[in-house]
Amino acid sequence: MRNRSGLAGLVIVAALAVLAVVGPLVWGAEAERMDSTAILQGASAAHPLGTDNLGRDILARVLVAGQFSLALALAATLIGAVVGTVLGALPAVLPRRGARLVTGTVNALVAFPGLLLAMFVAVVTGLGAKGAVLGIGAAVAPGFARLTQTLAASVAGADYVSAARMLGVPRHRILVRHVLPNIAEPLILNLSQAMGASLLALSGMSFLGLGVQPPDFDWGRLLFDGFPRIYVSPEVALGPAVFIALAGIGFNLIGDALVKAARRAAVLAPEKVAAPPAAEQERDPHAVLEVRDLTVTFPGGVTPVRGLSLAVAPGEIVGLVGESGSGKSLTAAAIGGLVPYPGVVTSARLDLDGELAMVFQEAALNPALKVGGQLAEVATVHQGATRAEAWAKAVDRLGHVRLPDPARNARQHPHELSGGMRQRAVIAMGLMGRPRLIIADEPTTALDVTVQRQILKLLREVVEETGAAVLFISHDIAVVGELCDRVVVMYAGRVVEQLPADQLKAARHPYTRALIDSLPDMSTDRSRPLASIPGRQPAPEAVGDGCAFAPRCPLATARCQAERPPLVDDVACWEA
Amino acid sequence: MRIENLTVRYGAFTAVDDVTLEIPPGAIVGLVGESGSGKSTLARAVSGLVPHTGRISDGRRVQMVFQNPYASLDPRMTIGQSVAEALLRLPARERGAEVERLLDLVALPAKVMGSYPRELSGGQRQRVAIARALGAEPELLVADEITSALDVSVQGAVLNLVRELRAELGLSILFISHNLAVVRYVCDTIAVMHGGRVVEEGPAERLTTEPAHDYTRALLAAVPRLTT
Repeated sequence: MRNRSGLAGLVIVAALAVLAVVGPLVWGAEAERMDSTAILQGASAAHPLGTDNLGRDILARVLVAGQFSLALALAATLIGAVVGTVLGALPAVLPRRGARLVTGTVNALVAFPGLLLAMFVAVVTGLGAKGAVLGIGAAVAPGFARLTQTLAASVAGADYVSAARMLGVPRHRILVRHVLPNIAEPLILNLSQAMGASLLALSGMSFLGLGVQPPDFDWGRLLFDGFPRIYVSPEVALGPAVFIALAGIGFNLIGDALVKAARRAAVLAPEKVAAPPAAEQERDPHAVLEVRDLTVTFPGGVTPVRGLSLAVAPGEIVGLVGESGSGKSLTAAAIGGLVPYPGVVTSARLDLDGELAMVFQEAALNPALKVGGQLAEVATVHQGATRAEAWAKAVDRLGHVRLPDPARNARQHPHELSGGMRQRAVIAMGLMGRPRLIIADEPTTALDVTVQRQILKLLREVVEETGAAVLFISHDIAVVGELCDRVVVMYAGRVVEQLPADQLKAARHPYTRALIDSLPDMSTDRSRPLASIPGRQPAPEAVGDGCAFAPRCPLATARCQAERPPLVDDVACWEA
Repeated sequence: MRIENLTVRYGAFTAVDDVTLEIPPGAIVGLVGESGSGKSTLARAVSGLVPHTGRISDGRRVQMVFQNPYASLDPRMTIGQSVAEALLRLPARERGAEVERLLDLVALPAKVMGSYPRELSGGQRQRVAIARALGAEPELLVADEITSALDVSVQGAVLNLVRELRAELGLSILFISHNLAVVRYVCDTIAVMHGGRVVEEGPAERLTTEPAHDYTRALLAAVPRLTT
């Protein structure tokens, strides 16, 4: 737990736990010792928090009461958690009608005020510690049941549960083996917060006289006893009050910290990365984008992009191809300045001549806003246009990307358009400025082939019309080969080959060749097995000194294992 | 196995509209179409995962392999435990050897039994999912876009495996994909779905060289190809 409030919570709860164990052993006798000469005293050196109506030392009683208070809270929480989890999980195994009955009951209980439920149960089961624990347990249970139900429903829709159902695995076994283990984590996180709430509620019950009865005592009971004297000697009530508050805060801090830790893995401070020595080379005056020695590093030695160099000429369509984990999307993000924290970008040169537009997948549109408004925002924010001007421009650009009725489409929400139309709108958003370079990251991956073909045609038209260059990022070498002028192939964070798209079938790097051979096309010989590449791409933190592809390469020699081939004459291979 | 007049409705929307399809024993039948064509709904109906009307004859033992091998294996179970779920009919002490045999069938070493899904690559996970489905001794295997979540370099190996399994085990397979080139390579016959209906059906070679329906022609024209 790397956060201060979580640590504070941990310290508080640990201290209370120690108190609960040693308190009665050390101060037990003192707490019970009556002294008729010292009845109802205020604070003094002998009794820092004063004495009660039987002359017992209140500080000792507060310290001893910790054990009982915490034990009651723990019991109530466990009762609530177990009953709640069972209620929440039952609908998954019961037949349909039984499941509905349980769900309905839980819904009704969730709607019922918790304290009322607790008091009702406490009164019915008998005044005292047992009744209070059962009451608070009953109040905690509906929340757990609802949480379990919601979590279980999301897991029940998972493919692995469908697979188990198809295999004929019985329902109770699916619940125990698949559902419960996968929802345990959030349920356990909830326990800590429920513990804090139970402790407060139990103290509340005792304070109201509905909980612990004399001669037993917990913090709530001590507060109840001290309360009538609060105007005369406030310290007698403050002692138990402070401990109740402290315990509530401690458990809640831990709960919050656990939830936060579960939501995102701890973010480490970025490591310092020495910039590579700036290569003293003249910049290419004809390139719209020139990148030299681009490196993206994440903490822990994870380096997804390693010394990548790339140049794009005006009006050129360059395809950046690679499998997942090759670093192609992070390369695009680095050029656009969008590498997420804590990534560190270094480069010897990163020159962009003119405006840049990023085109993402169609899912990049905000579903809650009108399409036209999202486009117009670009013009009002970046170009200082008035709202009317910006809207007119948005409609104009939507017409440019061949939407059928731009004025009407601009007033529609994204869900009213088809996937292909949404992708056109995203491209139109990139055209709101005057981009010299358009970076398109997998813009057709989610689309059907017939729609993909239209979008590729549109991209080519945009290039012809505006003279902008395109860096097209894709995992699909066939799509890249069809659209692009030039193809740059990435593997494990580096460029392994670049070549004109019409030369792809004559590629020299064994990885490029294997990629092309493993892709069936409409003329593949159906009587022979497809080519495939054994093994897998090394993870960004596991790239060694030699050629990253060597372990999978049929041509690899001892030299390939030991020494990384530089990109010479557009190919990085010793054997090509 | 024969699917007759199969229809799936979600409220007023008809996802699969009166589809009749024959899957001969030991054949791989391909189902192509775009998103919303009803091909995945048909797969789920045949696998018994969505309610439908119509008749499926001799379809008692159907197993399905899902698109995303990252979602179809329980992250908290070892590979051995996942595959063994298909073998609950066997006494517990015989399951280990059978899991080993199934993994061998999909060309995975026995040592992956103790691994968790996160330790395997996408291609290896998809092999595990296939091994698990084979453990239930299916008469029909439904493969729903099983290579579309995989990297290109391992896609070929999984497609080869599908063809080998058919040759070795005489398995009948309903192979669903949006990628015509993949379907053409793997399947004996192809059915093209559009708007919930099968618009054309025929042997793979003929359907891809002499398409009869306009929609099939449009699909064929849109397949990206490398020039030269």
